[in-house]
Amino acid sequence: MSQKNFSFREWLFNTFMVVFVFLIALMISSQALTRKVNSFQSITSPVFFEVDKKDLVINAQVEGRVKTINVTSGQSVKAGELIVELDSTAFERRVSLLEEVADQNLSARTELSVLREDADSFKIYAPQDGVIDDINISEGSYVNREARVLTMFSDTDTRLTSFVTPDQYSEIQNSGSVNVYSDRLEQTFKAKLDGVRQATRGAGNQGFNQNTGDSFFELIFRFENAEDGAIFIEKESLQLINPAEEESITRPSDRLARIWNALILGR
Amino acid sequence: MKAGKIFAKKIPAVTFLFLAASPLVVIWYAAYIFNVNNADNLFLYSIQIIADSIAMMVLLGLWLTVLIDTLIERHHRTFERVNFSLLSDDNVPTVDVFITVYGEPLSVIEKTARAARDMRVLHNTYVLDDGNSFEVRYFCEQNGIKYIAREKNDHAKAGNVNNALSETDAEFFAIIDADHVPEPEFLEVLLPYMEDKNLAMVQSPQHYRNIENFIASGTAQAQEVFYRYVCPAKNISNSAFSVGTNVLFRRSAIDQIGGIALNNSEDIWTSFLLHKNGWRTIFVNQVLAIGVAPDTIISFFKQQRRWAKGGLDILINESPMRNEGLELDQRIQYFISSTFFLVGIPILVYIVMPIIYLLFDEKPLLITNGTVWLIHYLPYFFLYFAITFLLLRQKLRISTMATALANFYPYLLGLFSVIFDTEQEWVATTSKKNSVDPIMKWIWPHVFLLVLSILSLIVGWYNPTEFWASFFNSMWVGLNIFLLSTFLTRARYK
Repeated sequence: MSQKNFSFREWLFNTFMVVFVFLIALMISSQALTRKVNSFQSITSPVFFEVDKKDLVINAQVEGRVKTINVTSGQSVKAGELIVELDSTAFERRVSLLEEVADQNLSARTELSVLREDADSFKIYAPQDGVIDDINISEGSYVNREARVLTMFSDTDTRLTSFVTPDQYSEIQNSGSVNVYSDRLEQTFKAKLDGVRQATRGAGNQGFNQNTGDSFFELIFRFENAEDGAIFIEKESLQLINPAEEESITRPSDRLARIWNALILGR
Repeated sequence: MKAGKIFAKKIPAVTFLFLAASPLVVIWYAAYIFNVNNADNLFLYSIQIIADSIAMMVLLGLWLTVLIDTLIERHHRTFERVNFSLLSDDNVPTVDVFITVYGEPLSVIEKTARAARDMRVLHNTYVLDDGNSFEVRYFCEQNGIKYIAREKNDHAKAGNVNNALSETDAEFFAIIDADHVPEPEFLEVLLPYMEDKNLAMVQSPQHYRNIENFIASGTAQAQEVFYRYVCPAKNISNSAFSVGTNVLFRRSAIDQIGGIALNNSEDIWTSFLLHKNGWRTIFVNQVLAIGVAPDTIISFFKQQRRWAKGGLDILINESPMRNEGLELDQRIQYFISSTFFLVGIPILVYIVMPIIYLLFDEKPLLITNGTVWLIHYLPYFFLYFAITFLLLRQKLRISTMATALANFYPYLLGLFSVIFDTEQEWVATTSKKNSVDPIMKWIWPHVFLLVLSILSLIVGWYNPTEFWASFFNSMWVGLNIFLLSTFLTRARYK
């Protein structure tokens, strides 16, 4: 009943449309695949942490001339170690002067009791174990009350910070604690996620391709074992050991994505 | 002479189940999906909302219709008590039977014409040949059938009938498509209803015999719901509309509205105009002619696009809800019938959404806890599948699902042609007069979506972020692949 009226134009149109439709579908899918691969690669590329030790600012509690500075920048100190000594001779002379008249003079007694509170402050000790950073005074210079004497890094409460992409963040979020590896010490340590902040632009020192205009997450980790933090130097770099790295990264679909990337995006 | 078999009316348990369950299921799902807190990607969410709203509205329309049909039995009985005075010998009115022809094969026309000529009750039989064929003319002359042709073919079938009306003057006339073979009792059954002087039209159902064909089988179940529930229910509100064939008209009524409506969907438009002018119409649920369903993709899609255009034309250009010429329930019925064709939008959305998720990881809803969504969605999903079972007591056929899915394209084409006001030619269902009409013009979206679905399954499982979301979306995509490929391989192209 049907006429076998073969029209070349029809055949041509049909074939063209099939091919065209197929190509469009292929283009859309490969775009989608490329996005997925990039996101996956950003997840599997290494994430580096920067050691961020807690800053301690040491201020002078009294005024006076700096007598001795017992430490240098970068030196490790233990809690209670004497780091700076201020000249107390003027103070002591004043105290002994007041002591002589203290019995008869009420105002002298009052001043004396106030001064005695400062007696210990001429020797400045390290409040915690740590490393000296900047020294803001020099021997022989005069410091006022509350003037900054030096800053140091505490050995406790060491943090690790890193900037990651949202994809990487969701990967890291899934694991509870992570492993970080120190190249220098050739050792792995455990760390826990402590805080997250959304940053606008990350520091450009990471190892992955940065997507343009993306928001980054600033992650803050702490060592599971708090004492571990003492070993590290400020701004030292540690690498996140990604659990996914244990498996092989190059999946067959990665190779496929690379082919498409090359064909379509010219990379 | 029998009064005709009219389906007896009891409420089957499953119909009751459908009526009771539907609102609950829909509200249950709506409570979840209309809650903006559950939204993820806002753009996709709004599309999802639009699609679901349309789907729910269509379901609601069906529910209302079934409810009316179930509760109000009257309409099945009302028309039994007709007086057969019109058939008594002293009172026989003049009746013309028009067979509209445009390019159908002679073998088809012959069968219909002879059957029409041989129907009981005195009448004139005319073949209205828009194809102006010599063979047809010769056949008519040899078989005692009158023949009318015209010089120009403007306004397709509507113009054809109006032309015949200008050359005839019977009190009543029937329209029968060239491929619908009428039963001998056709006029015997329909004519008595015209006793009511306010009645302008009596419509009987379309029934197809070629159900082995994939497409025909696919539309059969939907047609059955339409003719078994929707049409009888419309009788209550005097909103039965013509489907273009197997119908009897009162001449004076048609004259009053200025002839058959000059429109590509002249059937629904003519009914609409009759209603606006206060005429009554009824649907008689008895098969009185047996026809041929469209059996090729192209003829089927053209028909569906024509129906969609007609229905949506009324919706968009006539705004049935605010039309003063109609009564409230008529307005509601026209609204329901025309909005049905918007269902192309949700179908397309449901096909595309899971693909978007698998490819681009974006979804309309926050499905962090898959079970919550599943609990809300599954009953709703199954309701759609259960409709054929609940209303027709038949298993939902694959051909039905596949055809319904594929229909999104002609429905969307209909929608666009109404919005952008384009004209199309009316082509008869079995006409072989297809000039160069490449199949890809009609199935490119299906091929495209099929290929894209398959590719999305591959890409989607590259490092999936959420396993269960990917799983469910893959199931969905898999179903669509199955239905699309079934349609494309089993339906005839030409």
